[in-house]
Amino acid sequence: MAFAIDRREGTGLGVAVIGHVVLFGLLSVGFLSTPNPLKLEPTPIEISLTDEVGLKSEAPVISREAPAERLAEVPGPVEPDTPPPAPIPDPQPIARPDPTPPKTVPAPAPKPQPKAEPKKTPPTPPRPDTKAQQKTTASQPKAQTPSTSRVARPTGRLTGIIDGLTDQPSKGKATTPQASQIGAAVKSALAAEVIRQLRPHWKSPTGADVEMLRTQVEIRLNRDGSLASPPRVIGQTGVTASNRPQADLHKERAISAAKLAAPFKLPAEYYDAWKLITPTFDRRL
Amino acid sequence: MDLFLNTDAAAMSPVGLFMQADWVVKAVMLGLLLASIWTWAIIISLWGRIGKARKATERFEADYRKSNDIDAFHRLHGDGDHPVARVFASGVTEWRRSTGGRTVDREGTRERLATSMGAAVAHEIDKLSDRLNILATVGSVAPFVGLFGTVWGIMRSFTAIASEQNTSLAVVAPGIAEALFATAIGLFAAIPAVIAYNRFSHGINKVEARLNRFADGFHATLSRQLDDGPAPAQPQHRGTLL
Repeated sequence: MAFAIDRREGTGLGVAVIGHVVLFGLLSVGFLSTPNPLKLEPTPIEISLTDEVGLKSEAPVISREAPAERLAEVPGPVEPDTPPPAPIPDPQPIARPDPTPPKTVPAPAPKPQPKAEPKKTPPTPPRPDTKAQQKTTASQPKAQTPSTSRVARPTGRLTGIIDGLTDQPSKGKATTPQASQIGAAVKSALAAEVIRQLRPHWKSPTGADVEMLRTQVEIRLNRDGSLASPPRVIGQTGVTASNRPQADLHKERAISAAKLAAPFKLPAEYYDAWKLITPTFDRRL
Repeated sequence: MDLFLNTDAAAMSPVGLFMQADWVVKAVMLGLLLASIWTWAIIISLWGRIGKARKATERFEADYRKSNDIDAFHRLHGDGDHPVARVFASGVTEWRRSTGGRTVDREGTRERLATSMGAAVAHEIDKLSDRLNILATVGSVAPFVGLFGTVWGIMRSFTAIASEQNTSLAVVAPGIAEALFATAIGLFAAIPAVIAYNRFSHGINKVEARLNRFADGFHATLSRQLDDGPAPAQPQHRGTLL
């Protein structure tokens, strides 16, 4: 009798069930859920890990090759800062060995006559015929030098500005810059690389105030990256009363991390910079 | 408005929160949901029943005041399916039994009439307030059950933090949200139950007081009849009740 359901209670039960289903259904289909109009999802940003790069020498590479010879022993006469000579109908303006503008000196017109003796020609000859000039350039390469030396002067013209440069590979043999040339950027990149190789093997002890402990370890390396001598602790800071029990463990783990990380893979050309490294281990490394 | 079943917990969807919960929390939620449905079923049925009892009592008393002949009134209204009619019928039945014999013990008849009608009133009130204890139980226990689900769910999300070693809010939040949903359902079931319990106990008290007043008045009428006649087989109503 106690749990017999009469007609009225049956009606109430039906109404209650329908009401609950409708209410939870409405809540579930997002009837009251607020849409997210602000789109608060963070947009992804592209990042790059600077530990991975920067292992190139930042120092300028000293060219071991001697600079190209200046072929002109005799630099031409200093030209006043006059406007460039008016263009004359010249078939070969570049190869034209013309120390003086032909316009200003019209008089030496008879001078071409000594073409017969080519020894004296270099400074003077304004020759229109190309054939004769090619002959002279082939026989006397020095005859061209006045032109190259002349265009090197600040006349405002760009012709000849790349004279003396070469695209030949450098003949230099040395690959290792001297220690003084290893720049700060290289050193910091090396330090980051050392830390990056140490990190997988480093596990900080846990405990109170353990994040204050910093242990500096001296690691001597051979040229192949292996340990030259067992790493040793050269200093520890941040020891407090609460983290004193972890301090020795911190040292021990730092040394074992250095041992496990060897051999280090570091660029051989900077051996001078990493033959002695002293990384500092803290909680995050 | 697009209707789609929102099953991700982040959108405050009950279905989504339920689906992601632990089985213990799921059991708690289901139990509380059933309690809520049962509570509302009782609320609806009690509402109708108490309202009907009150209206029937008013109508019955009005009719009773107007009529002169109790026997005729009993023939007309004595088989009504509401509490007052049953109390009235029990009084009349007891009167007939007590005065039907050769000798009438007046004091004994009065006592029996009072006892009989009191018992009828108590029976009617018992029937009315049968489900009221369920409302009281749901109202007092549902918050605790919901709290149990919440505590369990939060314990579980803390173990999730410990195992993932990740304390970011994205790891913690879904578990706590689904756990708090258990408390929400508990309150959802408990609040109407408590309100209805108070309201209906008040309503049932009023119905009981009214039934008692009617029974007392009727008892007074019958008692007067006992005094009037030596052995009145048919009580005469004087219209001075209530």
